[in-house]
Amino acid sequence: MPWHYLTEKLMADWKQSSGETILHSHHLMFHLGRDGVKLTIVYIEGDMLFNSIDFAIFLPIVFVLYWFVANKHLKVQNLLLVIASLIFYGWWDWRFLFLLLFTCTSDFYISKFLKRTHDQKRRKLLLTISIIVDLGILGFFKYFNFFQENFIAMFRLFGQEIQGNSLNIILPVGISFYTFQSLSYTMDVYRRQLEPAECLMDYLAFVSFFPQLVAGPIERATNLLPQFYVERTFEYDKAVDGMRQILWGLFKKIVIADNCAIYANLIFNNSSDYSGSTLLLGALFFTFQIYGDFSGYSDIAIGTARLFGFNLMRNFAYPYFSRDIAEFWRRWHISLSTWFRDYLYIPLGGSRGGKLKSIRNTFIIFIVSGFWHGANWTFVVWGTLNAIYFLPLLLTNRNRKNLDIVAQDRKLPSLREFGGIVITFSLTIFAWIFFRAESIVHASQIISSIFSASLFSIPYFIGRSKALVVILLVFTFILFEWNGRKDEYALQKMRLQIFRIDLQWLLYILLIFMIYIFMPVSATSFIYFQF
Amino acid sequence: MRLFIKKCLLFILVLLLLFPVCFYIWGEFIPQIFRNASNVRYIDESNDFMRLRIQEAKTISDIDILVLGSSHAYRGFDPRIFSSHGLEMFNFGSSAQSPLQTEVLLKRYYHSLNPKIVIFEVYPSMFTWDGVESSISLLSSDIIDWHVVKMTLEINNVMTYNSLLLSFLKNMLNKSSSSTNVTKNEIDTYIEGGYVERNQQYYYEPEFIRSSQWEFNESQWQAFERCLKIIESNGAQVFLVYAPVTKNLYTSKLNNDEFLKRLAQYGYLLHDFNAISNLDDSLHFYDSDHMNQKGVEIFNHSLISELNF
Repeated sequence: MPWHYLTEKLMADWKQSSGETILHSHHLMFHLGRDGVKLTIVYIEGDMLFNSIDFAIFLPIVFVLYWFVANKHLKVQNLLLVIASLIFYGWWDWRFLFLLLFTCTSDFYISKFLKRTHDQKRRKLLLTISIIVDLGILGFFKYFNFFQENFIAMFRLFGQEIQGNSLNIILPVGISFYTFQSLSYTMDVYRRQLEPAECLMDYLAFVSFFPQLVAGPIERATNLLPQFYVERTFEYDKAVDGMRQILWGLFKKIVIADNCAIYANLIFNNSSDYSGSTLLLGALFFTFQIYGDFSGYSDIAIGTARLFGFNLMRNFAYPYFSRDIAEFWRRWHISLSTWFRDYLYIPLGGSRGGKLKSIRNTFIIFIVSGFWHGANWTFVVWGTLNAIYFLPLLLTNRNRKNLDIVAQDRKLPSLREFGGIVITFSLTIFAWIFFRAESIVHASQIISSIFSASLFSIPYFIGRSKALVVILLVFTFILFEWNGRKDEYALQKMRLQIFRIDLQWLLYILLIFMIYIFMPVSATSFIYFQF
Repeated sequence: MRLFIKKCLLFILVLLLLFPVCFYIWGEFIPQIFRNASNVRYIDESNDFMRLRIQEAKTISDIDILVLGSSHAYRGFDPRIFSSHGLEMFNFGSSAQSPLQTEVLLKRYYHSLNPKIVIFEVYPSMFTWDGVESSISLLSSDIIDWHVVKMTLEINNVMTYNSLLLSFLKNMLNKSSSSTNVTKNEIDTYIEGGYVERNQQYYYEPEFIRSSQWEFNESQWQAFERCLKIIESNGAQVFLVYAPVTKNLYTSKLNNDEFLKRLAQYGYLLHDFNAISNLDDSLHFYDSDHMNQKGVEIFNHSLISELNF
């Protein structure tokens, strides 16, 4: 059944059962099961997205209260941040606040017990309880239907027919992010790398900190938690830098991601109608959509945190300029990659214990990482593919070769570097097809069309001329990013000078203007909210 | 902190000053292809010839029949046929015209046109639209006054706001091309009296249309009621006409009856020509929505005799 018919039907069904209207299909998250598609509502219109009017009103209010009303006492500032974060999260669905508070409270007290206990067996038990509680909640909300369907399918393979009741489970926004953040805290306390928080308020502020609550960066307690213990003083340069990063994030999200999304969705949702060349273009649009979307979100999150005097970890470092896949994974979703490195790869033995063990561990973290993104085999294949890409580098000990910035002291990359970038980029696009496709069958259909004679035809789809403008925008964006690749984000040190007159503000005004005229008619969601 | 707030406020001020300049440059000097990809729209020459129609409306008065509605109106009611029956008719339809735009047109021109009869073409779709498409055409084709500001606020869409702002700037700088002589494009010809005739000789090829329901937008019904009040103000006789569409399209909509029942509640004469006309999908239409000239002729003659003009 074509995707758009399906979304219409599901949206109508939802309206009938809940009375709520879903205005856009991107407010839905699907996972494909044995009997077709199961629907999970991620959120509906009226959410407090970073690119919404709601947030544009919310942020200045919290900012003013934070620096002008609550500035005298650290505890009051933290309390304000907790209240603001709960409002921010509750804007989606207040019912999930209980889940968030439960996760926080249980990990807070388990960590307290961990500190007091010296008996290693009891400590292990406490950690296990924390892991079971956190992953149990995540597993139920995110993976229940997936596992049930796959069990049924497995039994059917052996000739056993069993009935299962699929639950209409609502996926709480950002559950994978805050669960991992909270989990890392308990593990750090268990490893005695971190003193547990004395006050529940501080811990709540750390986990629920609104800039990074729903889509990261997944902060380590060792970095963020201590920042809640010390007095924050307003720094002009830091705040300006924060504003600049927010602006760049909005540009990435609205101008690049949202406009690429129009064509990525059009082509992927009707993939059987298009030629190989059009499908390849669709994959390219998705490649920039997901980068603009997610790195844009991270920029806004980091910039917003700066306005409140906090430093969050970097989440993206120009990943599409990577010369090999290992470098790509050091530059893409850094907070998640390092999380898996610190809390899964290394505990599993990392690269110690020989090549075979190292390969096994690499596959485990990539597959788990894929599964973290969603309850669908497509994400598992996506993770596995990346592990396969990684393999040659691991076997030849070249996985830590490109640690510096590409073309460090030059304007352009060398031919070798350029070749590496093109190959890595192509491999990434190929993997993104699985990430975006509705099912493995869907991805296979797209890939077989791409690798057919129709690859050499001229791409054809509705709105081609508008898509040309989007391609031009993407091209300009790549130039901006290349120019700023040595900085934390591309706009950080970008200067606009005409006849030696500094026209920095004009540059910002032009960016705001571009955001305004290229913004979609309604605020669109961020892809990573569903993970 | 004080410096930060001061600079922020100053930046907002500079932004507010420079923004209209950027806006005007984008709307006036940037090639159409870029404009079309953005949400800033201004239509110089629209396919519905609205600018020409408004120009003509300003020159006529005391007509016999006024036709209102969407493309089903301006492509479905030919003033030449009405004229052959001794009736002076003006067709004020435009592309995707919804009651929100009809209301603006009526407020501006109804009393000078002063019709004896009003045919309101009531294609259900116009009660489902957000009104953006037609508002852009209207904002680009005519003056900016309080009526369109009210319409824009009611539609509440960024594209409509942008069209309003750009049209306002163009009007202010006398760059608005409110007059036009273009009466033809590649496939259509504007006929005096507001009608647009399709020149091409091709026929509708029936395709599969999935069954669905009309999902109405209540603000359009409210605007429709306001339109009827304006029409009533000069005592004109009102006919609500659902002009023929292909049977293929008509039968794909599962709640036509519900729509007709709701319209009937207004107490005006209601004629669903889909139920009484015997037009053929393949012979009398050029697409699922619009009749070809042959279809228009049959429909108009039967309309005139049915309504006893």
